[in-house]
Amino acid sequence: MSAIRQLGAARALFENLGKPLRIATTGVGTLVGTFLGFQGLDAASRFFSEHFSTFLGFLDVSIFSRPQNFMEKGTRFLADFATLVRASSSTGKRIFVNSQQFFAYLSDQFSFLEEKAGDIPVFASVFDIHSESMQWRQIHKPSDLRAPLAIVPYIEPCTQGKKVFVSTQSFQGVCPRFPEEKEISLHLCLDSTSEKDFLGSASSFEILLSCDKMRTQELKRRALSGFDRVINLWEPSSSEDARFISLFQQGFVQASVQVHKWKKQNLFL
Amino acid sequence: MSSSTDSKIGLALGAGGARGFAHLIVLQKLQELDRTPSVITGSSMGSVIGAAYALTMNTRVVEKMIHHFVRKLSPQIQTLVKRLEGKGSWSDQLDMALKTLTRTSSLEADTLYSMLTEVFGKARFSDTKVPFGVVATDLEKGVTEFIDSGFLVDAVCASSTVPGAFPPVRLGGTQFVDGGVLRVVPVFEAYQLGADRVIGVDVGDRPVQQEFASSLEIISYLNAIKEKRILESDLGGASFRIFFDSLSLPWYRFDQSIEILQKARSHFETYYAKELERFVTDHTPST
Repeated sequence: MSAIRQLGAARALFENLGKPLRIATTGVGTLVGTFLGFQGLDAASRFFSEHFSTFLGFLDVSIFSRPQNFMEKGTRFLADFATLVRASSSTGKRIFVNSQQFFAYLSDQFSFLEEKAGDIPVFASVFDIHSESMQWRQIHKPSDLRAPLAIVPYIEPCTQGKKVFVSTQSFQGVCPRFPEEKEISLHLCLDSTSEKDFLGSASSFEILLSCDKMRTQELKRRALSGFDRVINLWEPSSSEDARFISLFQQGFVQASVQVHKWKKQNLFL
Repeated sequence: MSSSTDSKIGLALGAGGARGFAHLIVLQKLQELDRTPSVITGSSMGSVIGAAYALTMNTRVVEKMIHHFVRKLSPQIQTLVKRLEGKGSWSDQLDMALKTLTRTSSLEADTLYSMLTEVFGKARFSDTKVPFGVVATDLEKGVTEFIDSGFLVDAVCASSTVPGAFPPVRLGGTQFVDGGVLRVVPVFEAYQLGADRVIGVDVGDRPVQQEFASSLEIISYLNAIKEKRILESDLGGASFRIFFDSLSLPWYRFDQSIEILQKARSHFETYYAKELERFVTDHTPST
């Protein structure tokens, strides 16, 4: 849910630096970036404010919450067991998130993509498992959201023909630096992928998922070095106050402070 | 500044479970060339072989140790292979799934520690004949820790706890898992220990997969690609790189020690023996 901070940060950036020439994104940020690029800042803020609890409902997965009592432990065990069975039995079945419902909902809410071109072109990064490479895809229609949102292990991979794609977020937490263009003089990353919040060590299952996440973080640290500027939006942990307005304000304040600091240092000259 | 002929050569031995027996072949070659590494670092199985060699500086002793433990732990190894290859009965498989969700490891906590205690006893890092260090992964912070002091058995155990197979190891209040999670070949740490040039040895087996039967397989394959990217970055800093990439065995096939050593020897002789000899000669002080 730290992705909501990207909206607040975008407001700070738009006010201080103007609109970006391109929005490059991956993972949950694809939803924020796409709405922003096609509908503008105010409409995006309204939409995510109104639909915040729906998104929370879709993306809240049992593995994130620590069990407080015996009943919760039992429930989580059953959920994890079902997950293991589902994930081992097919490539097409949902893993943690009910993706069939989720993508049907997105098709509906992002139907504007079919109707108009965006003010700011939006590109999403996806990872091709077979060629082991990242690819950029411009967002034109709701189905384009499918691969950049295939955040394994939470949402199943996206199979297109013989190819299997996952979100670049699953691979390295953030999208890579966008390809060079003459007009682009600054590549700024709004990093909302937490480097904390590992799942814990209560079972082999949790340990294996934690280790996978650690590798993603390690690759993220390396990917971030490719950007000119990075704004950290993953601290403090979003679980401390997971209300839309708090997350939005935190993003706005963090980005404003950072941009003013850079301006003082003449880093945008 | 060191000239090219008086380099302190470091040896960084990578993670890879049973395939890590192949590290012995590189150590034997260096011994044959009379060029003892000035520093040694290890990750996971690289830490086991590295520590045994750093303590004894004798490849025969290390080889004997490998065969001794493979024989001694044969029943446990068979159980491990059966479990991980899904060859058990349906009740074994169910048992494995339940353990994955309810326990921190599929093997008993004591298996690894008691074996390593038999090898290293109360030896400390200060007892090794060359500077030695291992890497382990801090499970809470998600970062690599470099350990080069204290009891060898504790550090090597922390570095070798394959996630899921062995339980995390608690050292000084921190929970650790296998060093290979974030540092496949600890090249950087060898420089940190004082090496001028580093030989990096990778024993990874990363087969290319085109078909996936389940989401779990895709997740696991993606994880292997992440490991590969981390490895490429690790080895980018090495002065000489050795890849034992033809061993084609899963990490847990400890029962194949003889075959692994044979294959590794032949692979090494074909692709690296002469080049390594040249590298070592170029960086050996002239008398």
